[in-house]
Amino acid sequence: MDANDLTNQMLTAAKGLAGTIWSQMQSYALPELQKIAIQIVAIAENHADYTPAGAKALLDMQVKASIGVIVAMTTLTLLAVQDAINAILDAVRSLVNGAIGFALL
Amino acid sequence: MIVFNRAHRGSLLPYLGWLRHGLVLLFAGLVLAGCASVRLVPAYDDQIDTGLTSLYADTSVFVDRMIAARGTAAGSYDQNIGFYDGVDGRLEALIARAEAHRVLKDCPSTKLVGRALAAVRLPADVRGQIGTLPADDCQVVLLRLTKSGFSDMRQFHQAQGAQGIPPSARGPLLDGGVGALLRAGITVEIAKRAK
Repeated sequence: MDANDLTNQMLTAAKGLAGTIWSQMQSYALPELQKIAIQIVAIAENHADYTPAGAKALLDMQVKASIGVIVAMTTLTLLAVQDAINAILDAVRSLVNGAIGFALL
Repeated sequence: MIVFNRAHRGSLLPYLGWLRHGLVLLFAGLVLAGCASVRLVPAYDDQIDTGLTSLYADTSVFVDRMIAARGTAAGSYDQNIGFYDGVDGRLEALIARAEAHRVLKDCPSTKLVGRALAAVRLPADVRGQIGTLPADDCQVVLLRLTKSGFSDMRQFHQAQGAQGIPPSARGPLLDGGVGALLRAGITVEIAKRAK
């Protein structure tokens, strides 16, 4: 059994995890949060179009939307973590089963 | 306590490699037994995907129609209660599906957001609405947030009275607001479908 080979496969899975999360932050979460920030400014600028209760409901909605983006990003992160853990399990399984000659894992 | 002197170590050396491999196998077996793969996120559900996508389309059409009909009876909240009631029913059905698929009992970001909001000054009712989100799977939390966002949209429409929904509200409703919440759910489903 080659520990270096297994270590490399584990590190590859971990590096992929970091890259995937950063890519999703850039392509999804940051643009969405930027859009919401623009809307909060727009509500303040166009306040004459809204009743006080209407403006408040719109602002509450933006707060929830921001939290929704964070919850979605958390889910995407969990999905990436799930993939990385399963890639590591596959690497360990392949190495161990190959070394002992039967399917232990 | 067992202490090996130099002579013992020499005689045991050939066995140490086997022992190490045995321990690795034992450890791996203990850690991984019954754990062929790990699941932290519910599997892709095409009904949640199509449900959110069609709700996004319907909401976009509705907002544009309300803006066009602003200031008239056709654009008033009273004439359009059916849209909001329909959305509530559709989201409740999707929440029921998400609850049936739930994997985690608690979404990690819910507690984090709760702590962050506790540290800043927010109106009590806003903080209350967010803070009372139940500890649940992230997908369930996201769909409940979406339903709550539509409740805000209903309140907004109602509070606008005779003015109706002005063109300036399109961005806050669809680029941010419920549009952002629906896109969040759709983005997650697309990511799951790609696996």
